Amino acid sequence: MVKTDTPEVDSKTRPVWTDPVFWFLIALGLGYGSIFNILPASFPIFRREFGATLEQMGRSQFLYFGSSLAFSIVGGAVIGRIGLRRSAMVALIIAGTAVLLIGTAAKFNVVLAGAVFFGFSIAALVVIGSSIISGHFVENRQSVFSLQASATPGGP
Amino acid sequence: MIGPAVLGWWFVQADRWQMSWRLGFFAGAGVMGVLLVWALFMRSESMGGEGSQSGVGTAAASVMKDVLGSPVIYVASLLGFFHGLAQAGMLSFVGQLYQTKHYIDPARAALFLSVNAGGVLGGRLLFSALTSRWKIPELVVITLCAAGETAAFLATIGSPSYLLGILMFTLSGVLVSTIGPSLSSYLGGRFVGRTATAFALFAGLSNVGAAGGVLFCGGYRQSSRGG
Repeated sequence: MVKTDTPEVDSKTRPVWTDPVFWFLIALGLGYGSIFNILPASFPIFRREFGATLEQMGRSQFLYFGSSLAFSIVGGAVIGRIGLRRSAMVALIIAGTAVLLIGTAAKFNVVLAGAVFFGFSIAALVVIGSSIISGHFVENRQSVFSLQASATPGGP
Repeated sequence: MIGPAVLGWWFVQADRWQMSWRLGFFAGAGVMGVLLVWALFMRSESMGGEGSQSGVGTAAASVMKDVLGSPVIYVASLLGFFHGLAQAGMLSFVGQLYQTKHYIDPARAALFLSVNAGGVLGGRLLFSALTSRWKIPELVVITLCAAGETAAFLATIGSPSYLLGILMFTLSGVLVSTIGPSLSSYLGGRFVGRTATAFALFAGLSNVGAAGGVLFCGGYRQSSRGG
């Protein structure tokens, strides 16, 4: 599977295309970019299945952005404590669980609970991706930031 | 960009094929699962190292204090705030402006969003190619592109025709596309070893800007109608 066998210093000189970290970052961007606005896209379904009102659906977005904002306060400390790789794994687990929670919800309150975890994890993935780029692609980070952003146009 | 379209398509097809709409969410969770397995096989050191953000014996609180004590985070956040405010405000209301001003239908109004997204994608690929060859100072890129973006937005608002408006809004997408990556690169370069805290704070402040942009434009439009 994917492992970086070359020393860290190589990332400054070799083309980004040959770097496994680059492809992980692109996949990460595509991954969270494809689901980050799953909530508003599902509003018609929430209305049909749960009889959710406009106010309730708006609340789901409020909770999503509220928990994103909460991450901006505690996120740096959490990532600093457990490291980028483990943070990425935890954030991916939370994001996957949140999407499953919303997908299996029998009541709209469960969707709201999922929205909290979902917003938090998406914010975490964005910050983790940016931190990996800054730490790994020191010299050509400007180019890699732009390429990763291309994978998530209009993304978070 | 593709995600909501695929999900919307699935909701329609699920009804037609008598399958559950929930499968779309399960697929989303599956994507996270694949990325999780991928992350398992990555080396910690290649991602900047385990716990590298906390430094040697540095408490998280002092890292945050350090980041918040630097004027760089406020400059970047202010730039991000206005970037989000202008972009989200224009994207939300340009279609409605043209529907009122040029009597276009909703489909032609929606084209503004598509051409802008196309401009952003093209701009980012072009910018990435340029910066892979030459190092351009981030603040120079932000200054030039923000000035160009503002001019393109004003040209879009004041355009006498729909076609010129579409062209100007595409150009604004190309120019705006460089600002986000440049801001991230600027922060990454200025907060070495403290990037997670810096990016987390920056993301929060920028999101407030994006939300405020829509609120500001909506409120201004409402008061204009009332007046």
